[in-house]
Order: sequence, then structure tokens, then C-alpha cells
Amino acid sequence: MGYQRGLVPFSCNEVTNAVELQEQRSELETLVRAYGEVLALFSFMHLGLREPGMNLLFAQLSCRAADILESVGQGGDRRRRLAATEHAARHLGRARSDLLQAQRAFEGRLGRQSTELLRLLTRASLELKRASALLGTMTFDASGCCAGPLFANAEETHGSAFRLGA
Amino acid sequence: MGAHSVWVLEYAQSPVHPVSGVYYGAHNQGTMNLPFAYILIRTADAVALVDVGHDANDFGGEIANSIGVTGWTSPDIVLGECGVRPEDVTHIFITHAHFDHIGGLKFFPNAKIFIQKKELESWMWILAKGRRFRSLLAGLNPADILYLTQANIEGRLELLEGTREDVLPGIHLYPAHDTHTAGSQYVVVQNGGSDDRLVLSGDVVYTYRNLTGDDQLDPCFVPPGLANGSQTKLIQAAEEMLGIVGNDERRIIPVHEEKLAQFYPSRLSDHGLRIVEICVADGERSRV
Repeated sequence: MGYQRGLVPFSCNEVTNAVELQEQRSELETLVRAYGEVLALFSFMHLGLREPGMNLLFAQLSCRAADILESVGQGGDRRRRLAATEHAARHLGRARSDLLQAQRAFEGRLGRQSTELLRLLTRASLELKRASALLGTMTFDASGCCAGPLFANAEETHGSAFRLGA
Repeated sequence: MGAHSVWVLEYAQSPVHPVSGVYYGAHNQGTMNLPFAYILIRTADAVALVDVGHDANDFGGEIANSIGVTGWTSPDIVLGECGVRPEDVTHIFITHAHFDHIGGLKFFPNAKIFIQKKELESWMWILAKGRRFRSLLAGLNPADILYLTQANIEGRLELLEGTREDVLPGIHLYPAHDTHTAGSQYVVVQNGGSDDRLVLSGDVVYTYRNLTGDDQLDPCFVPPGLANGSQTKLIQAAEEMLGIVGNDERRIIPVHEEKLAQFYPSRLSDHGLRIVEICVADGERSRV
């Protein structure tokens, strides 16, 4: 079964107006974003490991990833889930497991075993994609993206000439 | 006629792109149609792309949806209009790492990829700084970096540090650092003599209006509104491009320019996508 969010938007809505469901979904969405950021950090670290002169930021990226993983802790697994969020939590648990394995590989400088590390990161990416599809959220934080959400930034037309302050 | 054929291939469009994103200082001027495209260069021995679009089924598609991009069409269909299959592509020149320029790498399994090292280092720096700096991550799909990593493992990634002349015969890559992004680059195609050059500008120049402003008789540089780097550097890079083409603005090819079809032959595909033919090599047939 595929998760083609671009074609078939999907989210779990079996339970509506349930405060607990909203809380759990919000918590899981936070986890998706956190793991997404770790995945981004690890992807760059992996690239940096193999490129001479590009690994100067490796330690900073590593620290940031460790901070994120520590801050989110085991949040995804810490209590019984409603059916609507259990599936997403399972995918997030797998993503976390893959990311922690990748973290250990980086710490042991085993990152040079590139194929295995790439496999872990690719699998984590897929699990995150599945979790975000189930939750109806984005894998990565796009809140600062481009012009921002389209309709929140709709611009009215008030003229056609450039006015650059002159 | 010359050694290179060049086509601009639209693969999607945003009918409601804010004008202020395209032109610095153009506030409250509504929205405009912005084509999303990549450029195909065909030579006797190589098939090259300048940028690769995005994948609508990946996070890049979500970014695209959030800014009103519609009509995404897969590269096999888009390139098929010029008789090229994605697996035929041998070289990819990434102008910068925004999702709509790098996100389609997965479709081209055999291509060698060229990108400025500074482009990736800058994203690393931003990521290391943390969430408060996330506005600088605008347009980046972190998942695209995984594909770069994979290409690197496969020996298909080359990180450039500045200019690379003749990356293919008659095709040159020039840095435009600290402009649209920290490590942007643009492509120069030299077809015959030194006066027969094209500049494929990436997003350093979005449209011809970036080069002229509103009055072509009294031109004024108006740099792109969306930029991580400096407006001054954007203008300097645009001036550099104009110098390369002898101030013939039409030989600068902005990939998001809807009006290209006014200056070059073109047609619409069955999918409603514009194919613009910039030049056709000796022995190659027209595709429009």
C-alpha cells in the first residue's frame, strides 16, 4: 500500500471532537517534525563525512541532533494510544529506532559504512512519510517556507508600478 | 545553429505566485503566473539538464501545494516531448537546492550531478543554528539531500568550488554566491564563437523584468524578492550575465519567465505544458 499524499490526501478521523485524540495527534505531529529535523541533520552529516572539507560543521549538527532526540525522548511510546493514532505512532517508533541506530553509527564514526547508513536514513524517511500521511501533516517543518501558506499570504493588488522607496 | 540544442521544458506552474516574491519591493501587486521548468541541453555526446524540478509525491510536492503550484507532470512525459528518457540524462547542473530545482533527482539514475559545495555548506550552517533560523531554510526539502547522498555513494556527485569551464565542451558553470541562495550557480552555453552565448540564469534572474524593471527604455535592475543572499550581489550577478551575452537580454534564459514564448519558438504539449526551443544543434530536429 502506498502513501501518495500528493494524490490522495488522507488523515485518521475515526474519532472526532475527542480532546485526547487531538492531544495525541498534536504530540505525534511534534514528533514527526522533530524526527524530520534529525533526518535532515543526519543527511547532511552523512554527505559531509564523505566530502573533504565539508565536515567542519559535523560536530554542531551532531549536537543539535542529539539535543532534539533527547528532548523528544520516548514521547511517541509513553502511553496507550487511541486507534486513530496508534498506527502513526508505530511508524514513528520505527523511525526513531532507525535514527538512533544512525546516531550510534555516526558516534562511532561508522558513518563511512555509507550504504548501511543510507539504508537507515532512507527507511527512517519512509516511516516519517507514512506517519505524516496518517496524521495529515508534513514530514518537515515548512512554516518558514517561501511565501508561507498560500492563503495566509494572499496579496491584494494596489498598483502596478514599482515603488522602491525613491 | 551550433553544437547544442536547448529547450526550456515547463513541468508545472503556479498561477497565483505573489509578485513580491519575484520582484524586490513590489508589495501589494497581487499574484502572477509563474511557470516551473527545467532546461534540456542536448549535444552530440551528452544529454544534460539544468535543474530537475520536484517530485509531487514527496515533501517537495507539499511545499509546492502550499504555494499554489499545479499541473505537475513527470519527467518521462516532459522529456519525452524532446525524445529523451530520464535514464538518458548524463549530466545535471543544479543551480541551487530549492525543492523545485533539485527535488527530481531520483528520476535520473544515471546522471552525474554538479552543484556548488557552498550551497550545501550553507544549508548545513543553517540547520546547525536551530529552529530560530528556519526562515533561511525556505524552499529546502531535506529529503533531497538523501538523494544527493545516494548519488555521492554511487560516485555521481561532484561538488564545485567556484567556476568550472567546459564541464561539457562549450558548457560552463559560474558561481553566483550569496545571491538567490548562498551557493547559487548559473550555466553558460557557448554554441559557436565567443559572441554566441546563452546564460541559463537559474533563479538569480526570475524573469526579464528583473533585468529591466517596468521601463525597457530606461532599464533598472529589480532583483528577485525571494533571496537568502544580498540584493546587491543579485544585481552584480545579473550585470555579469549581461556582460557575458553582450547586453543582449534575450540571450539570458530565466527559467520562470512566462514570456520566453514571445521571443523563441514554442508549442504546448498535450498536457498543456509549454516547450520553448531556444536553439537547435546542427543535425537535430526542431521539437516545436
